[in-house]
Amino acid sequence: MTGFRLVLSALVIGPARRRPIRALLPVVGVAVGVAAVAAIHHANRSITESFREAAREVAGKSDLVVVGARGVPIDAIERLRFLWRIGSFAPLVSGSAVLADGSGEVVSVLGTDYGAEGAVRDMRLVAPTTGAERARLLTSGTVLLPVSFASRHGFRIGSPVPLVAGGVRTRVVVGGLLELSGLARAAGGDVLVTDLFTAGRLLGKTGFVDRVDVVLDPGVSADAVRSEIARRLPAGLSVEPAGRAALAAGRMARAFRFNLNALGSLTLLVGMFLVANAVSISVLRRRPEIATLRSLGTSRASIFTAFAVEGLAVGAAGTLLGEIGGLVLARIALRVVSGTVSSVYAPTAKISAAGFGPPVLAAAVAGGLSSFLAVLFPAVEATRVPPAPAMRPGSTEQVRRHRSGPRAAAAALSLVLAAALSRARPVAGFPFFGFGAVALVVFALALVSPIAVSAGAASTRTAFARFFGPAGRLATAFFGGSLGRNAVAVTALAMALAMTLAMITTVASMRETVRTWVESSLRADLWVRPASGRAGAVVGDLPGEIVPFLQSVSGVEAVDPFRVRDASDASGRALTVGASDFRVLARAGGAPLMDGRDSRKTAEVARRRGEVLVSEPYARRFGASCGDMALLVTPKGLRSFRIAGVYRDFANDRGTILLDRSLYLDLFGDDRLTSAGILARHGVSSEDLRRRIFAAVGGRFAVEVTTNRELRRQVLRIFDRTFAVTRALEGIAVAVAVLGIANALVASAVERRRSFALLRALGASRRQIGSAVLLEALLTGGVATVAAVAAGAAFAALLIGVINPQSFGWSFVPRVPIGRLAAAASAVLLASVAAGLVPGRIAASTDPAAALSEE
Amino acid sequence: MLKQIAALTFAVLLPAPAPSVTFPRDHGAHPEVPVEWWYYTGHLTDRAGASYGFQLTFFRVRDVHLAHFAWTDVSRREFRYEEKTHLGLPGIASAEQERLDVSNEDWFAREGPGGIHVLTASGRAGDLELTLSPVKAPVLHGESGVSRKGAGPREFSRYVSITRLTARGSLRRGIRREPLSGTAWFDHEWGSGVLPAEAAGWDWFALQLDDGSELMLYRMRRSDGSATAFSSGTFVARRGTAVPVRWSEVRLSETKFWSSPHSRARYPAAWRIAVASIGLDVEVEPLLADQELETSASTGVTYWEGACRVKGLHAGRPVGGRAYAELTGYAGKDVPGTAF
Amino acid sequence: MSSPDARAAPSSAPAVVCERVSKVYSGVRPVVALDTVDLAVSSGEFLAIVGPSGGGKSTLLHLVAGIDRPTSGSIRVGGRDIGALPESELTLYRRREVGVVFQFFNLLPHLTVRENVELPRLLDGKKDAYLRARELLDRVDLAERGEAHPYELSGGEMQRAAIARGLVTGARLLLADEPTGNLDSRHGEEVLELLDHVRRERGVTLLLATHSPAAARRADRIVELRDGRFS
Repeated sequence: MTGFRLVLSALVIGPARRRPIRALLPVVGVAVGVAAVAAIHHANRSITESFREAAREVAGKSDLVVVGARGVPIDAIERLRFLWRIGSFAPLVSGSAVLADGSGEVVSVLGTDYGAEGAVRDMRLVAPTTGAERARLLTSGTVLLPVSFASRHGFRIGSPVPLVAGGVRTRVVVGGLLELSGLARAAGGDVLVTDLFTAGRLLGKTGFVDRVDVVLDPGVSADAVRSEIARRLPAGLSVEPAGRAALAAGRMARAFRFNLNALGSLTLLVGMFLVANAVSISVLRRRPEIATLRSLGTSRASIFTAFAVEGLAVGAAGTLLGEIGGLVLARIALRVVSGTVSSVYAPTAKISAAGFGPPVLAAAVAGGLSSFLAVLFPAVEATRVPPAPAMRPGSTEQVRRHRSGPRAAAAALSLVLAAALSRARPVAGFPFFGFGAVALVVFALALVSPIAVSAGAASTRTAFARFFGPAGRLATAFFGGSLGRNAVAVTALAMALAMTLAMITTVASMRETVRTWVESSLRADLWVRPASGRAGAVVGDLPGEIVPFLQSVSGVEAVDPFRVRDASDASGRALTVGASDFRVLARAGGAPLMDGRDSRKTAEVARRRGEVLVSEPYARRFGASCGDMALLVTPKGLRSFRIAGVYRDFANDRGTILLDRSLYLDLFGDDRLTSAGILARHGVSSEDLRRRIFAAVGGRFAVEVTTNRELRRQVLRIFDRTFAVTRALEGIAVAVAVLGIANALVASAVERRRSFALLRALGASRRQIGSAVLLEALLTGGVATVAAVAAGAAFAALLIGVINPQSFGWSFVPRVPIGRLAAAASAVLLASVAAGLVPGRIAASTDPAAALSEE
Repeated sequence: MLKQIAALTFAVLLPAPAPSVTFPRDHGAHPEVPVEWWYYTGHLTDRAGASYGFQLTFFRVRDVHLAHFAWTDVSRREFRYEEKTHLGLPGIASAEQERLDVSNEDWFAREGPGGIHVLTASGRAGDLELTLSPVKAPVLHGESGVSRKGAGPREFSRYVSITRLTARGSLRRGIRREPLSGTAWFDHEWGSGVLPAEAAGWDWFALQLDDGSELMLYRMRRSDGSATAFSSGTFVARRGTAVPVRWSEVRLSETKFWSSPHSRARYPAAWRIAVASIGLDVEVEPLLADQELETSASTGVTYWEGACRVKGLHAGRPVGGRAYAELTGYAGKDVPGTAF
Repeated sequence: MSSPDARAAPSSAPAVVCERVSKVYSGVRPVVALDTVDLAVSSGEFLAIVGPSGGGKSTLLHLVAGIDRPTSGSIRVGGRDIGALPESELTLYRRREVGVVFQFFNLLPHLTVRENVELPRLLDGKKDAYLRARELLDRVDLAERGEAHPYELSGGEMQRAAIARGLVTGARLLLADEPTGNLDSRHGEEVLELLDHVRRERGVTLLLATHSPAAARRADRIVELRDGRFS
């Protein structure tokens, strides 16, 4: 043991004491990698949690939830009466409204059966305090607000709260204040709780509630009760375990989480490379010490163990630092992200850092494992070093020869495999093989990068020497010389940049496809929607009586009352049902059909035959095509419709069944609309018609009227905002990778001390040495960029051709935004040169006498 | 009689009193008025002779339905009560029109075949199931059922009682089922729920004498304890004849007091009631001192409502009996009238 | 050994003059590497500096090479006090006026042998670096090895390449610090032979630090440094 302690102190502790900064480098590497992973995990989880929490607070303590295609009709609640013997139940009406107090904030409106709330959901009044005053709340038609929300807006008991709900301007009175717990925490506390009837009036939901939550007494079997409820419920209603509803709410942000996760794993990979890089450098540097110990008879095992111990220590320290850093990073990331989530995914969702949980195990394991693995290979290699030549100073820079043949072959093989995987079908709606193909491309990239570094160094040698003189020549020599290390840095940066380029291409293709889609499918001249304040999304819906009202406005040629709502198929899979007036579609046309047929004629045929149109994501998700039957649970029971056509749609990824309005009215008995498309009479301008509509609406409805042009712009703005998050994360990945370059170069600068000293002795100026390092950084960035362009093209092809269609059902026309790609690549190149600044300075300031005296 | 429920109401304009009240139609709900309640109290004994009191009340205040169920176990000296509050939704809480059928969760009161009333309520005391058979016809209080509470145009309600029903049924606790029998009283009142401003509370009595007669009496109480001009009562003779009782004929005096350990309120705890016109002079005393309800989860009002014993003279002869008394406005700021 | 001026210089003009040169390495316990040393080396002279390890040989060469600066005293090379030169001029001095051969690590591992030889002249931006390097490689019998990498060379070949590099700029002063320390005697002899030849051939002043008496034998003059002083 004492022998091993000696080895440990000679190999690990001693060098660390002598050069603490060097010893810290790998720790920082691990920390950065772990921090990035932890940050994304934290951010991801707190977003998911925010969605879930909102759903959970609404679901309360319930065991089962009764829901229906068009809510639960009030008459159907009667059938649950038997439950009072074994538990209790509480109906709930929920929706959103816009505060018309100038803030334009969106609030959740929850209508409850106050009395049942105690048993099902948690709700605590802060004021009023006396029993009699509280009792009066029940019948007053007033609303309860969480204290925090009320004080933020200056509302007190008795204050009127101006609202726009369901396209109608109205006002409610604050009757009481709620503690910010339980139900009041739904929607992050921006919630307005009132009795079910008042909420129903506000939201235009009369005759039905959105859900009934069931709580069972202890010991009552939920399964038995569930089947008993199912037996009693009329067609079109279903009963589900409460957890599933919360899950469905989380699905809302599926596309969003998907983005985060994809980039999170990328950052993890880059981070692992970084760690491997930092640790292996630190091992390589101690080859003389290893050789000395080996020549003194130290066993390979104890050298290996010493490095393993170091790897674990580095991993542990780095992980600890990284976990802390991750929390900080996540806070920053969330600030960027929260706006998008609430504007795009759920207008009332509040993202808070409160959801931050315990340390991220995945990040810790990744950090620990990668630093261990990273130390493993160099350590094994170090134990194989024969003692004598390694003792010679300078052997740390021994040029390692890579056999490029087998590498190239393996890379080619994985690319072929990737191509094969890209043809496989998704597994359970998840593009499993698509991601497998991405992983294989990454693998190929890692294999090929040493070859790329050699080739890069060789091919630029002459040119660099010509353009940059001796510094250029030195740069190519250094670049090709530190093959192993530079290959790792190149791989990390190339991966990050490739993913960025691929995302840019994908997003641009998507955007362009969406833009053309918007142009061809938005045929109306104006859209009338409920006033939605600051929210990007539509809040609430419009009453049915607005249709004849709009038709009566002079200059209106036709009105298409459009309705969307959540629905499900026979097996409970969520989808969207839309309703449109097919007569208007037959006249003005609708979204373009995938097979290129005329959408007007198809709409007319579908209307006459009672058929439906489905969106592309529906067709992909349910494997349906033109002529197949689409199944839909309606309040009148399960119905099937023949599919008359498949149209392109980017509005949602769940898939939409589009019904003619008259068919929808008959089945769902719901005459409210999500928006109304308006065709202007020939010769009437949109602006003019908008003025007329506003004049006619007067105080009766609170609506927003959007022109075709504005709506197009809005769609694209929302699109851009969604992907702003992606961009932020790409930035992080690239920053981490550039940091990797800096790390590698700092390590090189430290390691090449003697080379720099020799150069100085031979008359190289500081500037020449500094420039050489900067140019080496440029080379690293350049080779990485070239590799990234190739890998990025592969990634983009997989994203556009495989992953997106398989996971969202969206297909789009590939488009290469040369300008943006070039800008991103140049930014990365610049950043890599910047990454050479510090190592360049370190290299330039090498003291030749001191370094040479080490001989 | 006015109940604490008035605390829950809005003031609204009522149509003029309907010309007539008919049954069983008017045992049903009257949604045209904001406030309505169905009120059962009674005295029961089990096979061993132990005595119990019960109160089961269904309130409707606009769309809100509330219910109270109180159980007095005299021999064990236990008093238990529960309350429920719901919006009027089918299967949750409802009151049908045209017939007696009110429910809140799984508590209900319904009129069955032959004019019987079927009651069900459950609580910590057990599950109570009772069948009540009217002994007398419904009695209309005041002037043909219009019971004035004050001088204001809306300060009245419709008030109907069945002053004596024989009760038969059981209380089930776990697997034990205790058969019960006894006498019950039914009140049904609907109206604006508006109280005169001068009233600070009320004392209400429902006396069932062993000689087959009953007396309903309420004192609308000012804050100084004196009765307003709209305090009154109804005497129902053994054969069912109803005679209005004017307050001027009544002498009501408290003889004992009890302080609640829960609300700190001080309630009268024994009375001497003398009504000269019917030759009645009795003492009324609670069977159990603590029969106070704090209904924070429903009406929000704290009141005392309990089973009492009656002893004294009627028409010169000694008489015993049972009674229910309701005392409101004693528990500090939750005085119902102050809500207006 | 002999005193500093035991042997006469072949030429009268002194190429290097050290006056009262001291070098102290600061630290917790300062080390005096050179203690007020005086030395004059004539142009074209071959001076061997001998003495035990740590005696100050390398320090003296580093000072003369302009790699390090004296703590006190002056070192004049070609009439200029190089210790007082600003950094940029000192760099030019190293680049143009002096060639060095070290015991280890003479060549940059990632450059070819020829490139290593070219390097000082390249750093000076001279266009003829390639031709000069080829010529000198030929001179040191490494013409065939020019495109090899240093790790492919034997120790003797590496030192020959270093000598070629030392001459490539046309410097008049060549410094060699234990150039044979890492070589067996046969290769060591070859290297010394080469050094002696080229300095004669080109009239270069040669300062050789060595602890090998055999190596010193070829010198015009031998001085011994022990504990930072000539003895």
